Amino acid sequence: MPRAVVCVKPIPDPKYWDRLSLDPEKGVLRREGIPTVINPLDKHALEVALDLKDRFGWEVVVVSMAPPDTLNTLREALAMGADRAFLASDRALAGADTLATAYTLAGLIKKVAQPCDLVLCGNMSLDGSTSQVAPQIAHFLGIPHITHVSKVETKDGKTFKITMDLKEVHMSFSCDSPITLAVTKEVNLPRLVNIMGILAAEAKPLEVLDAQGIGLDPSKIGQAGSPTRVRNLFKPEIKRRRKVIKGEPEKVVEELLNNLHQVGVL
Amino acid sequence: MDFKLSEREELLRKSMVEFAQREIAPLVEEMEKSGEFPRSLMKKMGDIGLCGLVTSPQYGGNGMGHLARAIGTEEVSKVSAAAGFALQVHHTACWPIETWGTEEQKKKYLPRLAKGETFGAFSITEPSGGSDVLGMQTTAKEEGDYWVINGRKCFCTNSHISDILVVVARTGEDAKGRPAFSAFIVEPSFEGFSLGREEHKMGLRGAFTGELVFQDCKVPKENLLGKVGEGLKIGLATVNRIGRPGMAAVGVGLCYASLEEATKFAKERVLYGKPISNLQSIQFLLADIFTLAETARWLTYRGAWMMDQGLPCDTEMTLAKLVATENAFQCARMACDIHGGYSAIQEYSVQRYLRDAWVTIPSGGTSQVAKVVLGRHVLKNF
Repeated sequence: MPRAVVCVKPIPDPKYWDRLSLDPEKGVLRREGIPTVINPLDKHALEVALDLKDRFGWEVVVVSMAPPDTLNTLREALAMGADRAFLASDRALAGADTLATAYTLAGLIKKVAQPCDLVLCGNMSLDGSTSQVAPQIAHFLGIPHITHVSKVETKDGKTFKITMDLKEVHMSFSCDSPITLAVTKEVNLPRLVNIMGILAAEAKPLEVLDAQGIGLDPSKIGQAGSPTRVRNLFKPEIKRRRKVIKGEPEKVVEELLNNLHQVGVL
Repeated sequence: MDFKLSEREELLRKSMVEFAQREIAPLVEEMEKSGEFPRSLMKKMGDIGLCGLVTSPQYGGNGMGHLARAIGTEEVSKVSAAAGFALQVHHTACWPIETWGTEEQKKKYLPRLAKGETFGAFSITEPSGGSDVLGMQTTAKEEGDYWVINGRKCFCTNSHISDILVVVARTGEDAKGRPAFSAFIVEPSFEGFSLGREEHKMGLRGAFTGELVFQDCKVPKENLLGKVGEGLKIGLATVNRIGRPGMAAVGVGLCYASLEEATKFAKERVLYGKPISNLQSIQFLLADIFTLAETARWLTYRGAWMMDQGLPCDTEMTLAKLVATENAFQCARMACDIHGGYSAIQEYSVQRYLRDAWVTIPSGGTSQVAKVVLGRHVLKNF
């Protein structure tokens, strides 16, 4: 049975982002008390996989790296229709940058979902916005990747026509599996979780694995395995600017236009 | 005592919020204008599982239960109380069929009802009154292979759109000479059945309410629900255990809709140079709405939880219905107060909440009837 793996990231619910605050010392967001949801683009990735399951009988496996209190998001993915879910969760994984995260997820995929025909990710996470994890996972798995995927077409579930949307130019690829795809919201409309799915999800496998259980190299995970650090986290200060231009109307207009050009408004 | 909702119920609420926003919110304006419930919406509510909440899996439902029904109806009602109203009345057809129906009746009617492919309704009320159940005038007489029903039912929710109606009619007298009633499953295609007037309500406009007319209506004998003479029991149990808690859940949805709209408006509306949420008089109103909403919710959840546990809960359901529908009106009224003049403008939904809440109060029995039930309970037990 062909298999799709979907990488899912729990993020703070964007509805409550006005309650988020920054911890400038640790360089992280304070998320306490804010419910987590599946990163919205990851739901689009899951929908691509579920469509393959509906049409061609693929197995859909969901993987994630997060603290254990985010298990509800994986249960939601199972309720949407995924078959199995695995969470990499370990204090040793804390502080991971995109490379260490991708190494961990790739390790988890190798452990629980081999062989794997498609790896699907959201093109970016709303809270991190790096867009790096999907290509890095592909690197660790040794398979090609396409990002900014706005369309996934297949007639047989074996060969795929992929459209990459770079806004000003669209690129079309024909490809076989295995491949990693990072999708945008244009790719589909994710299905809603239905009540039958919620009940069925309770009987589906949902497993938490630690770093040792996955067989990860301790030097490549968490903060130790992260070559990049957040140097500073700050809220940009937005100030109103005020300038009074006096003089002859024609010169005032000319100076006004020059000023607007300089600040990029025109 | 554990007041924490389970992971299953939390996920249910989350998915129902998304469902209501995606599938119901875009329909609300048209439902208000037309006064009609879009039939396609019932199918969508069936697909998502809402129609099958109180129907067992063996008959095509999901059987998630009454607390789940309270949560689902609440979230639907937060977006459209009319849709929540239509849904909960749909359940008043499903539940008595599963509880008292024959195996053949369950297999024939429940799977399609649970999937939202057919629409259900339940009707007791007549022009002579709803609370005076014993004064019911509609009769059913046994004639050959049929029960022949004559009479008129009114204020029937889902009337003009239903495919399956559970109806109670007078079928004679008991041994003590008191009127005896029986329940029937009626299909609109039965000879002698017709639809009467369609009511134009001030609130819950997107749900049909109307009359059912029976003129020598021939109901096949196999469509008798329960035994002859059990109609009153079936009718009252359905009102107490499904109808009233359903209305309570609609009320809870309206309470929280008012709370959210009032809070949003108070934070955005600037007067005297600051948002009006800074004013203590507004904070008092928000605190009152919150208090009423929480009270309504937890009384409703308690009744539903008791129902799921198989505990006797008629009193608790009546209490929940009384409090939730009255509170819904008070919450909407205060939300309108916070909106000031904007509350009179149709683009602002608080005026709809006020109209909807008013209609929930007499539905399933007036507040005064609920107090009669509660008063009797107090005198008997305290």
